[in-house]
Amino acid sequence: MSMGSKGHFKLAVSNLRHNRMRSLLTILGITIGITSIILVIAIGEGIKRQVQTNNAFLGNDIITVQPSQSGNPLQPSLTALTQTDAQAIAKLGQVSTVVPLAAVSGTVSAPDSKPMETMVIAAGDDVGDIFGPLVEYGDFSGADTGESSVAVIGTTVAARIFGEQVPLGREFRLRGQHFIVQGVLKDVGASTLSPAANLNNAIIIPFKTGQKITNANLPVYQILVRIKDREQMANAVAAINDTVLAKHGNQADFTVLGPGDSASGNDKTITTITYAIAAIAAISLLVGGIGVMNVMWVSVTERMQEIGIRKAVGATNRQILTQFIVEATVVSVAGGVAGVAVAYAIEGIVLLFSDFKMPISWPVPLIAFFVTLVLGLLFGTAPALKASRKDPIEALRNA
Amino acid sequence: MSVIKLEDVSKLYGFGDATNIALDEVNLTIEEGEFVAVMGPSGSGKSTLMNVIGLLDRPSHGNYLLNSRSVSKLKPNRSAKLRRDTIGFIFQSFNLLPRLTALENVALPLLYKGLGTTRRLKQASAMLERVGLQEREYYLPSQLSGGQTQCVAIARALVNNPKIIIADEPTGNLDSAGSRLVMELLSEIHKTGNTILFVTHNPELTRYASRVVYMHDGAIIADEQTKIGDVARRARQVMYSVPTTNEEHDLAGVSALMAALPQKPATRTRKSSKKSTAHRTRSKK
Repeated sequence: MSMGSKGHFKLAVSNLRHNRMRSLLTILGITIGITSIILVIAIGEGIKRQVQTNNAFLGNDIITVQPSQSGNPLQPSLTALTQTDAQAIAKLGQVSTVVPLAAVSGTVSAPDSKPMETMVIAAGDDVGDIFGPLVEYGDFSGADTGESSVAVIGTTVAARIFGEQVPLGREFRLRGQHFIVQGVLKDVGASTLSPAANLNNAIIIPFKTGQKITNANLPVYQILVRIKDREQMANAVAAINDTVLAKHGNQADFTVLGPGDSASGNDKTITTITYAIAAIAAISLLVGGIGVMNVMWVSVTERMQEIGIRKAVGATNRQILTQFIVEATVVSVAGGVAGVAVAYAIEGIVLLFSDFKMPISWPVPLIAFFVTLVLGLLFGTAPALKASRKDPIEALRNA
Repeated sequence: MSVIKLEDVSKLYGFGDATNIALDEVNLTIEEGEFVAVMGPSGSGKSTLMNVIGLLDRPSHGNYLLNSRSVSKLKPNRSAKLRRDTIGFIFQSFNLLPRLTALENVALPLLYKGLGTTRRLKQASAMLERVGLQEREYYLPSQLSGGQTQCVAIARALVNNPKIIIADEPTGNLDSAGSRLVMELLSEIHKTGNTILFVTHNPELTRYASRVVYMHDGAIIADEQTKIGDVARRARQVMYSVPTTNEEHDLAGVSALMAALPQKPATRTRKSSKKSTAHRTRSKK
């Protein structure tokens, strides 16, 4: 009854080839629209990953507990988490290691170097169990002997205070306490927006020393929990949540995050902004779609005689309709495919010149394909209807 | 059995005072196997008649029976299919798609019938061979002479094996050699049993026809049977008895022709149309 879809496709391609420049420009319109939407979403996703405050990079069996109001780990809401929370979590059956992290402020001074401000993290005794893989030289062994304590320092700190890569055994002072460098962390990557990066700038000291030199009950900004069985992740997250909730008098002023989860707050804001910008980018796609429609109108008007001839030799309205809709859809989908390709190319180029990752997730090409398909159908239908309903005699007379 | 039967078929364009009567209650019956030439001056409704018979246009009034089936009120899609399967149309301006090769042009009707590429091209190739253009299959229309182009168009009209071939001034854009080529081809097709209608301004070409219909102002004013091979009597009469007055008349051969023919009754109102139809029917006999 009707010609095959392959025939329609071939016909469309040959017609588009004939008007090469016009087709390319129309395709470009769609390409720009698709590329900008994909990139906006990818950039948003990239930013989100950078500010994620969970510690997924530590391993997939680590759960993070943190105060929920806090955006900045250095300024946690003071009441949120305490060491007792950590102790309560440690009593849970699913848990193998609990490490509370607290921030200590102070100026670090070493012989032969200017005093400098840096981030000092007081970490629970089992820190070696979780941060162990991050250590490049030395280890987390050693403890506060009263007279001197131990520290593991980030690479940036090592370079800036001691001017060497492996300052093991070197000494420094913080708030009057004497420290010996026991270990140096690996370079954890300089993703500027993530607190993980701060480990390069961090000095990790024992929790007890932290308490001693500040004379205070240290506010915990994060509790890292390693669980025994990663299959039980959801279970463990729930158990930890319940435990801390009970401790806090049912006040949910904290968040429990599995390794894949991302911290709330920031994340939601970024998502909102991302989709708002993506919506603006979608306007360019709409403009591209209107471009398709415009070109199809012109094409239908120009090809009136062709339509008349096709009808005169027996093409039904539906066959003409299909021909023009397929043509519009081919333009649109070609634009979509090109848009995805350009987006991936830009992602690659950005990655080449910086370490900002813009993750384009796998359904993106698929979604782009369907969006452009729908776009072609949507904007191709009106011109195609005009073509198909044209009276054959009138169409022929247009020659 | 009559293949084509028009009963009081009218075609009007426009509204009110601007109404233009292209066909004025035409009655015409064409039997299977006839080779009909339609003559008449420009604007006499020849093309409209061809378009209506070819299902490209619908009559405003009246009834059209194609193979004893009323087709005057068919939906566009139904008439498209009927057109595809039963009628081959040939145009003065060839109307080939300029970007397709001769072969692809001939295969076009088969495309809309839903045939696969291989069968399409095979049948089209056979048809081109029949019109003597098998060596020009991959030529574009612009690379062919006028006569050859029209032969490709004829092959396209024939490819679906239609019973009826309608040609609207098939030789109008051709020189005498091209005309001859095309008319000989139509004549051959006629011999295989097809019913053919063609419009022409050239009295000489009535030699090919078995019947000549003369039109004026949307009405059929004369209708004569003629022997194939002879120029129609009235056309001959025009050619030999009425001296052509100038070059234009020579070229068209029409004004003189019409002058020699009985004129259509004086302008009348639509109310009296029944009577005048009767009058015309009488005058025909």
